Amino acid sequence: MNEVASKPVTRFVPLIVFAALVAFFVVGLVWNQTHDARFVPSPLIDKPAPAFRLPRLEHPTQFLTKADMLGKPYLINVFASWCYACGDEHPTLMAYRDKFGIPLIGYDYKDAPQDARAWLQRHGDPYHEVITDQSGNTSLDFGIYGAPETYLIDAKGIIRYKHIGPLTPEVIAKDLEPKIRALEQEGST
Amino acid sequence: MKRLLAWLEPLSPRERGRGEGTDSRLASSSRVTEPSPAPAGHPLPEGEGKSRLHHIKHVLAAALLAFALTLSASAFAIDPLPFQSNAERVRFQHLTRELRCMVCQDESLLASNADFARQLRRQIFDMMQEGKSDREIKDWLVARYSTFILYDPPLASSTIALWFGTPAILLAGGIVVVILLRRRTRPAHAIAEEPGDDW
Repeated sequence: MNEVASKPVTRFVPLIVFAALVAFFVVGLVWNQTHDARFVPSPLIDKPAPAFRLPRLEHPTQFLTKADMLGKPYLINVFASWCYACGDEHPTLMAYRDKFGIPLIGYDYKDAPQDARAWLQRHGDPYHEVITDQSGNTSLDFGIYGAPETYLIDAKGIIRYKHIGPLTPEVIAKDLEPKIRALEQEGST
Repeated sequence: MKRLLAWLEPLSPRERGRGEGTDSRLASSSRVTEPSPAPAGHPLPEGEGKSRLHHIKHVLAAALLAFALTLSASAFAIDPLPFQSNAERVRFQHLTRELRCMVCQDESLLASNADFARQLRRQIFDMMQEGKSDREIKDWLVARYSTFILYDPPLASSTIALWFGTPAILLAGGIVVVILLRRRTRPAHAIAEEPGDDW
């Protein structure tokens, strides 16, 4: 045994194993710091958006459907008057609504229409159109599980991008804006 | 028992104050924010045992109450869905226990009281009434919420390490043990000559 233990290579095996374990822990910790497990990439990306038919907030007897929106790209922003983070996101939407260059559709999620109207009146309305999903039934097809969430849907009705959580100027500059510009390129060719 | 009592001590600043000979509540309560003195092996003053026991009873009662509340919380989460049979209910509970509530992360769809979970439970119940199989229901969910919603991860290229990592490490360890044992047993006489081997 002694001659085995004295071999330099075997002697360092426990150290190497230990170092490997430490490396696992460090990678795991760092990964957890930089990734939020809640932000699950949607499996619906590059798939057709679900066919929706939802009442408009301002005219509840009129419906907006997926077919109405075909032909040009648009954004769907999921919000609710009860959603705290939506309040954080709101100034960003107000500032960017005209810079996106495409319609911004508000998706009022599991909310009473009068609450949503009051909320938009108080804070300002960044949306070109607001649709309401009071029951949340359509939200299941979109894979929505909270607010705020933002979808970019192209002219053919395909979901091209989804952001979970509030949009920030950084996210818009880094992810959303380039995707919108890319869609415009696609559309012009 | 004494050990347990000593361990419980930092939970009770008021008691500690008395143990140290101060009877002023003000003085002892101001102590709460101070770092607690090392509790382990702290000598237990005579005559304090009875009140400590009392204290333990309170702690145990509180713990029991908390436990009972967590049990009832999961009971509340289950909406009164009109199951047609007990078998159907068991199947529903089994299925939703394997599904992650996306908004509350470490709760299953069965246990969660979140609105999202309630709605999906209803949805799953309706799909069961339509005669959908567990497989179909899971596929429906995965198509919308990704495999993250499954607590049991499917075998995929991204989960190979998860599935085979542990058996691989175990196997490697077993091989190392076998090699070491063989090395040790072969020169048996060499070991017999060295009783002081510290291996």
